[in-house]
Amino acid sequence: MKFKSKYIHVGITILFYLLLLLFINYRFGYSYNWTSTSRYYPVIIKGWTQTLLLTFVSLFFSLIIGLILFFMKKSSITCLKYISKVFNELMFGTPLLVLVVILYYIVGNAFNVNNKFVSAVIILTSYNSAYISEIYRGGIEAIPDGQWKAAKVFGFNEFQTYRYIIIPQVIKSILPPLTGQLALLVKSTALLSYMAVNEFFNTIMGVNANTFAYIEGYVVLAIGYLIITIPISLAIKYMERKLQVVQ
Amino acid sequence: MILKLENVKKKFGNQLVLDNINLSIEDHHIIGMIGPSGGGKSTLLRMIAGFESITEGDISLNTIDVKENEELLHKKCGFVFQSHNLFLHLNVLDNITIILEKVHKIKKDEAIKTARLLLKQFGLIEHIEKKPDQLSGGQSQRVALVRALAINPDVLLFDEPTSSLDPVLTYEVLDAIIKLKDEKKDFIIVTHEIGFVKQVADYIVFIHEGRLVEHGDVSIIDAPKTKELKNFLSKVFSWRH
Repeated sequence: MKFKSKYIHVGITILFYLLLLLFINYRFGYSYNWTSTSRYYPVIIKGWTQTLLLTFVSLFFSLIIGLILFFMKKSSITCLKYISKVFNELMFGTPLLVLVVILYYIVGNAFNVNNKFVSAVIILTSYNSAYISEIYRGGIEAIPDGQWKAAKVFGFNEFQTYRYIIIPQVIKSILPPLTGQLALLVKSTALLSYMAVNEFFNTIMGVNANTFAYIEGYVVLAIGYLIITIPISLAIKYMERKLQVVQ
Repeated sequence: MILKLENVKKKFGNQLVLDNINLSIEDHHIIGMIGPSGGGKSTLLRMIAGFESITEGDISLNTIDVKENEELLHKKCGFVFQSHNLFLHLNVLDNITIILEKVHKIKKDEAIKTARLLLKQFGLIEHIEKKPDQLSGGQSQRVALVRALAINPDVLLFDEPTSSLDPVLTYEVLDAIIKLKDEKKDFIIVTHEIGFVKQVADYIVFIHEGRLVEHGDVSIIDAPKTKELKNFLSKVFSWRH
């Protein structure tokens, strides 16, 4: 009965958004022309794939660098602590667009990083790892003190404590904020168009310049980003449920 | 058990919690640490267990220097906390076997065999697959006791193991601890259960306001020499009656 009622509510929700969309479309009174935009679909798919690749490569490095930043912040070596803190403050306090311009044109030049894809990964990783280090911190600090004490008193070394006691408990609690961060990461790739990386947003802007079908282009963008973010959100929710069962 | 404390001091910031504790105990098996709350007895026990730093002085347990040989001490001592502190993500069996496998390098089969045997002995075998949040307070504390016992420690340390339990669950846990006496296990217990301490302990240590005020065999409970112990016991017993 509960199962059946859930499907009724899902149906109502879909109907609500569909009607809302139709109403907006009707009031907007725009006649869509997909012919010109659809001609560019190989380029669009390529741009979308590039965004997907940028997202996952950056996420992979962000998870590692974020962990390094977290341990630096927890370190007993004061300068490491300060380096991590200053880095995080810089990333939190600067708009991503400003970082894109500064890191690509100024810092990138200083270090001779000419490859745009590599530059884009470095920029997104830098920005996201600061946030991810804070997500780690929140998750680890939420672990009750008694878990650390028990691990210590039974002779676990630091690595074993993290590996067998803390991290398995932290993973579950950091998944929800990580979903949010990942969705932000996907959307923030659009700002890389300022350094002319051929990701999804920049590709569509190029297509729009040729077709003049701007509205269609933005609709494709919205759908394209949702195709990435919705499965991510569902996958993480699935993992959360799995962990709930395991734990 | 051999326990030696030499000029032990503990400070939290500027606050002196333990002041110059000196104690030498040999050939006693069960030490009961008693005293008013906030007097420093739990802190002292945690220092003996090696997870609270020693501000000044030396502690050795069964000739193991606590400061020098923390790792060895953790392998030779079992500890039961005030609240069970079981690993929350693991079931009862894994809470025990993970320590045996990862710290004591015992093979998985052997670890499971040891854990099952002890869980059966303490009437917990039917809870083997449960997570800590599915156990009652008394069951959790008994699992914590089995976990401490599974490493086959030379000494077990109990830090007020019944302080968070109701009288029925307290009885359940104390009953489990009494079994250890029958099995000739050495242990140190910090507790407010004076009647229990009198029944099981063969040496009493009374700590009051960070000082070791009186110590000796259990007869000191019936015939306290110091004003502080007299006051403490009269308060405990008047409350009980």
